[in-house]
Amino acid sequence: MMRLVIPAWLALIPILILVGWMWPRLRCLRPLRVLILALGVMALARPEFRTVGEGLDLWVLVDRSASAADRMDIRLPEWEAVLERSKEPGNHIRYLDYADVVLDRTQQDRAVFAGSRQQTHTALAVHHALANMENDRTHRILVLTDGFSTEPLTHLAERLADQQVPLDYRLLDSGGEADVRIDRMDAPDRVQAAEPFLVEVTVGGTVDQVADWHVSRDGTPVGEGEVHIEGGRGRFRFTDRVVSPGGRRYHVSISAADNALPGNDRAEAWVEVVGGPRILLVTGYRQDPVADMLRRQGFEVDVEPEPARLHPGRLSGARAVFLNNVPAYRLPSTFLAQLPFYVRSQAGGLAMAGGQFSFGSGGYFESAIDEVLPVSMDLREEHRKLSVAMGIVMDRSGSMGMAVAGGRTKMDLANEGAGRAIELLGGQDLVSVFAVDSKAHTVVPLTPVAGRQSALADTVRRIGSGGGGIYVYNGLKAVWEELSRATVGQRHIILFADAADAEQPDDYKALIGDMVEQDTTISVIGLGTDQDSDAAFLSDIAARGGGRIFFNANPADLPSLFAQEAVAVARSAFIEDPVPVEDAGGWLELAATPMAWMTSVDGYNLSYLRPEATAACLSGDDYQAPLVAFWRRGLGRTAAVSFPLGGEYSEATRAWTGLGDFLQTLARWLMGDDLPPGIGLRTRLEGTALTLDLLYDNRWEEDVSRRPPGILLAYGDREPASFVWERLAPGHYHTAVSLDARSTVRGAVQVGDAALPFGPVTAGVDAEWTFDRARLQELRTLAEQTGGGERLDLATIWDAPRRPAYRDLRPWLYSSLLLLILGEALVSRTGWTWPVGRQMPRPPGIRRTRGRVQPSPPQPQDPKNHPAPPRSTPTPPPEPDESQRRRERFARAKSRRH
Amino acid sequence: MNLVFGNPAGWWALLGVPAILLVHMLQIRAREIPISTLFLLDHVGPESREGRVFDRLRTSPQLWLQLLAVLLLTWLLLQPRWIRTDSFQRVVVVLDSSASMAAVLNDLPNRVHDALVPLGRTSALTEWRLMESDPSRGARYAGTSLPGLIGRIKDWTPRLGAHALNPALGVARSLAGPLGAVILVTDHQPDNPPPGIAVLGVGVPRNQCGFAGLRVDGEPGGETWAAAIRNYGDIPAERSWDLVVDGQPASRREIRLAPGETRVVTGAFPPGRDRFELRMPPDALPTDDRLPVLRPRPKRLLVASQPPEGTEPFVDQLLGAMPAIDRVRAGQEPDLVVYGFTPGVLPETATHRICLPRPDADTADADGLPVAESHTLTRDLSWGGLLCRPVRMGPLTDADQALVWQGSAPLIVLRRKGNSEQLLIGFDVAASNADRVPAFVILLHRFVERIRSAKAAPTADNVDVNQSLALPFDPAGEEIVVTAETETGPDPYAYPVHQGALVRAPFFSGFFTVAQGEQTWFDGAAQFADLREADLRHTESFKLPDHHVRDLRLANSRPDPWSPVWGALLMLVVLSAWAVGEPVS
Repeated sequence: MMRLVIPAWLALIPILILVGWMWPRLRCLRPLRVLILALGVMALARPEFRTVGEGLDLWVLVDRSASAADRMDIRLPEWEAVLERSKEPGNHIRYLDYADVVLDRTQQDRAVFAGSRQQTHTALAVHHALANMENDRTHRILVLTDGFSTEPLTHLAERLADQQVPLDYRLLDSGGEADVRIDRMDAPDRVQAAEPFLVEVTVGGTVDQVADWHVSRDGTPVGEGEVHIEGGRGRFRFTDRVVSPGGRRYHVSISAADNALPGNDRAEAWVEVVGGPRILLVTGYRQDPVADMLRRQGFEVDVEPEPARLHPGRLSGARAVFLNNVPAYRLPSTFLAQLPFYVRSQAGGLAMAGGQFSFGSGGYFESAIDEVLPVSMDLREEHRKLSVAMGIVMDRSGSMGMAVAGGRTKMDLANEGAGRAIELLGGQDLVSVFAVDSKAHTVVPLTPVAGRQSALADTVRRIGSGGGGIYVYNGLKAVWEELSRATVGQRHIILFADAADAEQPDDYKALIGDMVEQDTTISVIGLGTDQDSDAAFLSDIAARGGGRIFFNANPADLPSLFAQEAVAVARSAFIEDPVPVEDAGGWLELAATPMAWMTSVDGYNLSYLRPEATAACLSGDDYQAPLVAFWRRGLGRTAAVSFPLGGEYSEATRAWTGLGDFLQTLARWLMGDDLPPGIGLRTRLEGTALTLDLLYDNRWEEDVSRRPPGILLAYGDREPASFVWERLAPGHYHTAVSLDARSTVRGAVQVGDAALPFGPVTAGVDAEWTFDRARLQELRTLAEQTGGGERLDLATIWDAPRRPAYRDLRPWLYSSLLLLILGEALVSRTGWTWPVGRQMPRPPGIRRTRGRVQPSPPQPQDPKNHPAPPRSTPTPPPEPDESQRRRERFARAKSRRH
Repeated sequence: MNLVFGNPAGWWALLGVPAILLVHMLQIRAREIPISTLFLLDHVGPESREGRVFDRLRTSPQLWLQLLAVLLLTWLLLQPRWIRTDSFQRVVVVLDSSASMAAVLNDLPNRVHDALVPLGRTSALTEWRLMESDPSRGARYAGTSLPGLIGRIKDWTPRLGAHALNPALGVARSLAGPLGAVILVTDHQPDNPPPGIAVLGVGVPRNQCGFAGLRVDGEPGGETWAAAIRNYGDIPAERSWDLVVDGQPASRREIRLAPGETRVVTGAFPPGRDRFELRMPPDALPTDDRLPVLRPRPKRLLVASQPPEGTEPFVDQLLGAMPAIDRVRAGQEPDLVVYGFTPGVLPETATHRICLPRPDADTADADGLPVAESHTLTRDLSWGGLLCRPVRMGPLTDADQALVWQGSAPLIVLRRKGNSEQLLIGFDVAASNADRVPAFVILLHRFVERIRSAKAAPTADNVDVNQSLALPFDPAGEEIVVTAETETGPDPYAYPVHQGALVRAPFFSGFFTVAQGEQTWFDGAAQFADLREADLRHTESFKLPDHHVRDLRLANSRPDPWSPVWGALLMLVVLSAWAVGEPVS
């Protein structure tokens, strides 16, 4: 749609017509000149093109966080009804449910919010809405919330103003019921092993009452009692004593009769229990011979036979971690993700050893620790001897459309994982992929992947989320019908499903029984936790299918989980035959004397030495694969022992007399050097502010003068971030870091070649239940800055003015005018005319040549109308006519003038 | 000029000028008009008759009118905008206070001026604000004069080590408001600057050498010094350094350093001197070319020892291991008394005391292991190994703070009475293993150091530049004066007495004193030792982003109100060009 800002200029049109009529010399009727005049008048009238439609798109952001959920469930139906009832044709509503993540309601079919509710990411929701707005409409945002965002709304005003989107809000009633809460929890950062320590908890409440408190350490209850809240305040203390070193997580909760908001009734703190240097041995064996041998050599060994119990705090005080025949899926992802930082920045040691549950066979390919190990686990194509038919069943239910960090959906990440799995298959393998909601949709029928990995992966990466839950039975049945046609040595199914929404068990047991009978295995990747509603069902599928089960609540891990699974099945090899051992000479980098290796090992994991890594011994077969390899990564050290040290295929190894010496030397090297005395790190956490003081004496002055100290903090699996130290005095550096609420961080201070690890540290109490009034004011200010406000009457939101957005067309008109003027000047000057229809009456026998007019040659004539003259009679030259004579006179006159 | 162009691409329309000229260099096509006479020939120009297309340019009214039309169109396409006469913007300039900026001070005013001049043209009125990233310093300039701001840069000197810039940038951003500009002037690209910050890089990579640290060791009277000299360069460096006593070079040494090498030079204090200076020839960063060295003179404590029976060896060993402790002599007033007491019968005194119970004190029933309260004296101490029998301490008062408990019995209590502090030990030390428990010994050390730091007594030490000096002053005394010794003489600056906790060492290397009235409390040597600032190899130079100025211009200007007039004029010019028309033959 177009408009004229100054239409009065159109009055020029009759004036110009009059001028053209009165002064014909202007030749205004020439086409170019008419066009020029028309465009000129149009430009003066200032035409504008409307770029935005008349309708209003209302983006309703519904706060589904835990602190608002109950009240929102009551009010939301009424609010939605008001909005829908008052909406007029041409207007649209888009609902976005948000809490920790943002979920577009149009892309799912259920009313229940399926994301995590432990954060209120209002800014994320607003950004999500802004990113999805179309430019040709008027938009407005309405936030239905309790007003307490857990993230600042900084810089949102500029972004909203830039897109001309006003923000309105409607607040939930505050309630006003009686409530108790935990205000503060004070625990020592660090204590010695077996030393009692005191923890103090401050509680608050809106009414005086007695509350019960409970304390647990690493999930185990360790105390309880009562606290009297008087005058809005109360306090209780408890003592504890921990014998075994490592980080311990204390969880405190309170409960009371009158307690409106249960979410602010808990708090956490980490206490680091310090002991001597120790090795954390995570083992897959019931009686691990490595533990006994290391203890006999004088090491303190912290043995963990249940990897699921591990958490990042177990790394505190550990100088080395030994993963002995433990598959990756049994390690909590939070623990696994911390290991690279532990090695590189905290100067920790890491060793992997074992048989069929380690390295590629254990699912460590492309895991968090893959890059720090000295061996590569991806089996080379030429070394593969068995082909695989892999079936992938993908959950494409509504919950997969949920947005996660980075602007991608869970479906995108799962697709990426499936695509990655296909790319890791070899030329002799086959693949079949089904996307399943209530039906199984064929994405890729059973197809050989040879040479088509990229095309097949691209196909899989385009799977979109649908609706409903995942009907597991349908998916398994469909993929089994495909795989049963394959005549390969190994069939494997990867089932990817939402652990909270996997439906239709049907007769899955019989179906899986058939599959297993025909040598087919099933692994399950469950998105969620093992506590989710359908987790047991998925676990049972994996157990019956003889495969692995992965539960992961972080969608970002999906690609690597698929890759691990694909490699574990298709591109790993545990050689089950005895092979001789050859000395590679690298051992002398660790020890002063050469090692007398055993003559052979009973089996080993085939892997490849990475560049820069050192091999101590090699397999004596054709592969020449590293059996013992090591290298340094950052400040830490890692080693790979690719043959079993216990259990199956370890007889020859256990009979080896040098095993004790081997383990002792390897362990001492992994644990690194002791930190020289004279340096210390003091950490203090106040709320979310972590302050660190690095203190050192004169002995360290030279080291510091060579290289200033550095500090790195690692939040979960994010890239470690560095911070600036401020030098306060000789031997004293200081820094303060503001942590994200409820985030757990680990850190390391690096001085020279030494590292001082610290953490984990958890900041503050639960931000979701910390009702900071500043956040509420921030929302109000934001609304005002964008031209919005609080909407008590939601129906009036449709009366909001539409955004007037027009584009000025004058630059285009002026550009056209310039070209036309230039063209008109050229035409006027040269007399150029259009090639078609420009024939002018011309005297017969005259033709136009360049620059002059010449008589034209005789033309053939119709013999009927113009009988040809007799050839014998010469044609006399034509008599010059009047015009020709005039030209000659003109030429003579002109020559006289020059 | 208060004119900006919204569409600079409109300049391309000027290509129409040569196009018109080219057209007019073409010969006019002859038009055939029958006439009866030749009187019009005088008006006929050269015409294309003989095959030539181009001719020399001949001016004509049509040519000039067409050129004018092109110029008018160019003007309209440029979308001229005029800075609003009521436009106002605030530009906040944040100077990086890192010491490395000292290397570019000479050129800094010109660099900043050149960068800010275009910004000043984007608004009718610009309020300039100049501040530093040093959080302790206020705004250096606030006003509408750019020369005024530049003048304040000329007399500015950076004085901090490496520090976080984001707090100052956050303040600047809020000062500037949503439409204002924040310019960070620094010599390196900051990591993750907050949004809305434009960075002007003024650094120049250089090689330089300097002193990188000092250590003074040894017993009083026999101290030796060790100074680190570092080559912060990519090429080998040859330097000389002088040992300067009383302003006169006493000796000179030559030193050759490989790239990045740190060399430690050592020596003894010159005989009979408590201070001297190491100097190198000034280079790009003069701050680290001077290293003043002072013989430390710690604060000494007078201690009276009246321990209970059986604890004398422990007390003697404890006091003997502490530095700068003197036993009190007759007539002297002790700073600290180690005192044997009977719990519940403790005479009040204004003297600090460590009170150990007498052996005959009543013991208390207590079970469990010792547990420490959170306190600076007990932080990070482990009490698990302490084996003792608590004595009956009596009820704690408001002046008491239990530091360590055993069950319900306080083992160690801190009592405050007026300005004095008393550490009450609630168990028989002689009958315990406390002398072998590090936590107990460290706690006593911490308590003694706490008393030492609170004692008002002259002292001397080597400190960092700008180091906070925790010195006790007389709260009823005169103002506190820090006097730095500079090349031009003493440079005193004063703190009100209530700001005694804020006293810092000077910002530049050199000797200084801290005095209150006639009393000199501290003799100091301030040294620059922040290596991160001394390394100039990675400093960078870069301009403000181009869009920054353009965005401000657009925000502060309005469209040309005369554009309809220029449009109408264009029409008139076009019609006139047609009216004068092409020549007729």
